[in-house]
Amino acid sequence: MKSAFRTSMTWLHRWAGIVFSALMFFIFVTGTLGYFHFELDRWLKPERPLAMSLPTTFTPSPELSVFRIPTDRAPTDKGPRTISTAELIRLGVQRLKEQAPDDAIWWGIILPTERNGNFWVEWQPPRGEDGQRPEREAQYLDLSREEPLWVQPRQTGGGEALYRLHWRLHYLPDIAAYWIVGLCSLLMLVGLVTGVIIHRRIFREFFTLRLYRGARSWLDFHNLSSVLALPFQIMIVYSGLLFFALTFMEPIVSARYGDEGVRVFQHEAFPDDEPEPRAGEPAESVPILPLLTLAQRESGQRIVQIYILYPGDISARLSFYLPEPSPAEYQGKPHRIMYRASTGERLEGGTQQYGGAASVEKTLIALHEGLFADWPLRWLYILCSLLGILMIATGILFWLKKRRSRDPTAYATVERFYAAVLVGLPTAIALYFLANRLLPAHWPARADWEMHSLFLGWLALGLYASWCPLHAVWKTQLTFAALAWGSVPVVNALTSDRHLGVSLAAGDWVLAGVDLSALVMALSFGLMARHGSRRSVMATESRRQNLEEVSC
Amino acid sequence: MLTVPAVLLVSVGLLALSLPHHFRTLNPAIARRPDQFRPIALGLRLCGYTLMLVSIALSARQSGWALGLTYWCGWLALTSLLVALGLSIRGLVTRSQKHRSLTR
Repeated sequence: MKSAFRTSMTWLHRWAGIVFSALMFFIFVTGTLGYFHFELDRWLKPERPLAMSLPTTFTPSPELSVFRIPTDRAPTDKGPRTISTAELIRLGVQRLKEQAPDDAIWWGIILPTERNGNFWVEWQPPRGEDGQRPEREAQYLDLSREEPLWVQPRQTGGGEALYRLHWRLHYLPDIAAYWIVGLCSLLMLVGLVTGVIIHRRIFREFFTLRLYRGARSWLDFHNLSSVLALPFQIMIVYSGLLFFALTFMEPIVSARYGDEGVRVFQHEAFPDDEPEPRAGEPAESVPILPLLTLAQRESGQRIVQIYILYPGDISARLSFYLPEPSPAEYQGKPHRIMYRASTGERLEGGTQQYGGAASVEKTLIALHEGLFADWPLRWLYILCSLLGILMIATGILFWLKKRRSRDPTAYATVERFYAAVLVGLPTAIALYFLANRLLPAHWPARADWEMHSLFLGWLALGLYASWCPLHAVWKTQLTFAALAWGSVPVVNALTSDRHLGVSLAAGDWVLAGVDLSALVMALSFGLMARHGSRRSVMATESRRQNLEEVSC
Repeated sequence: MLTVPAVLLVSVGLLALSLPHHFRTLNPAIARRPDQFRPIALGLRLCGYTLMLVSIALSARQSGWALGLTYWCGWLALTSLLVALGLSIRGLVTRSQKHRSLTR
C-alpha cells in the first residue's frame, strides 16, 4: 500500500515537472513570436499592399512629409510615385465618412511606420442589441494602381492570435489561463534564482561550451543560454507576473475597494482623462491637418496614430497618440495630445500622471512588451528570447539524456512527449501559416480554423510520436518540421502575390523577412534531422560492433 | 551604433581569457602555471572590467540611461554568446590538432 502510494506520487511528481516544462516552452515560443506580431500580421494578410517608404526627415507639416509608394509593376518614366501625409489623411477621412456607421464609437487613422508599412483606417461599430461589442473594422489603402483602392484583408487571427497564445492558452477560460501561466512564471522565477545559486562553478565555467560531449554539451548549452540572457529572463518572468497581479490579488483589492474594486483601483492607480459623454448633438469636425501640424510641432515627433472619439458629435475628441516612450519615462510624460474636434480647442490631459509604484509597473510592462524597441533592439529581444527557449529545451534534453542512460525503456513515453512538444510545436506553428494561405479567403470561420489547424496539427504530431518507433521519433519530427517550414514560402508563392519574388524586388524586407525566416527554420530543422540520424546510425553501428566483439 | 557592441566584445573576450580554462586554448603552458598566469589574469580582468564600464557609459550617452541600459543588456548577451562560440570552436580546433599530432 505504502509502496503503491509512493509509486503514484513519483509518477505525479515526474509528470507535474514534465507538463510544467512543456508549458514554459509553449509560453516562451509563442511569446517570442509576439515581438514580431505586427510583421507577421502583414504576412498573414496578403491583400495588404507593399510597404511604403517613410519620409527620411521629420517635418511637422503634413504637406511636406512624403511617402514613396511601392509598386510591383514595371517602373514608369515619371519616376517614383509619392504621396504626402496630408493627402493620405484626406483620403482616410473621406473613406471613414463613407464607410463607418454614423454612430461609430471611434474612428482611427493609422499612418505607415517601419513596422506596419501601410496606411489604413479603422472604426469601432457600436454595441449590438445583445450588448456585445463587435470587432473593429479596418480597410487598407492600396496606391499601387492609378486609382486609390481600399482593401479589406481576409479574416485572420494574424500575428496577434499567435502572440495571445502565450497568456491566454486559447481554449481555456481567461481566468484559468492567467492562473496557469502565472503559476508557471512564478516557478520559472524560482528556477532562475535557484539555478544561479546551485550552479557552483558559475564564474569558473562562464563562456564554457564543450561541443560533442553528450550530456555535458546539453548542460553547457543550458548553463550558457540561461546565464548570458539572465537579466532578460528575470525581467521577462517577473514583469510577466506583474500582468497577473490583479488576478492573483483580487481579494485584497476587493476588500479595500468593495465590489467594483478592480475598476476603482485601476482608476486610482492609473488615472486617465475621462472623455465627455456623447452629447447627441451633431457637429462638423474642424480640419485635422492644422491640428496635426500643431501637435507634431509641440511634441517634436512624427505622429502616426490619430483617433476621434464619438465622431460627428459636438463632444467629439481628437487624439494624436505619441510614439511609445522608452522605459522609465512613464511619469509625467505626455502620451497623447488632445483637441475638441468640433472647435479645435486644445484639451488638458493626455499626460501619464502615475505614482511611483504605478510608474515602476508601467516601466516593467513596457520592458516586457518591448513596443518602444527599434529594429536592432527588437532583434536583441528576439536573441534573448531564443536563448530562453534554448535554456528550457536544453534543460529538458539534459534531464532526459541523464535518465535515459540509466533506464532507456522507463522514459520512452516521456521522450515521445518531449519530441512532440519541442519539435511538434514549431511544426504546428508552420501549419498555422499554411492554413492562413490554404483555407478559403472569404470563409467567415477561417480565423478560428487557422488556430484549430495549429492545435489539430500538433495533436496529430503527438499521436504520431506516440506510435512511431522510439529510435526514429526525433528524426521524423524534425523532418516534418523542416518540410512544414520549407513549404511556407512555396505555398505563399502559389497562393498569393506577396511572395519572395515580389517582396525582395520591392525591397519590402518585413514581408520578405517572414519567408526568409521560414526558410532558415526549415534549413535548421533539416540539418538537425540529418545530424541526428547520422549520430543515430553511428551509435547503432558501434553497438553492432560491440555485440560482434562480445560474441567473438 | 556599433561602438558599444565592439567595446563590449573586446571586454567580454578579455574577461573570458582571464579564466585559466579559456586561456588554455591560447597558451596551455602559461595557463597551467598559476605563478605566471595570475598577473596576466589580473591585467586582463582590469582591462575587461574597465572596458565594460566604458561600454555602459557609451550606451547611456547614446540612448539615455533607460534605453541605453536595455540596449547594453541585449548587446551583452550577444557578445558573450559570440565569445563563448568562438572559444568553443577554437577549443575544438586545438583538440583536433592535438589529436592529429598524437596519431601521427
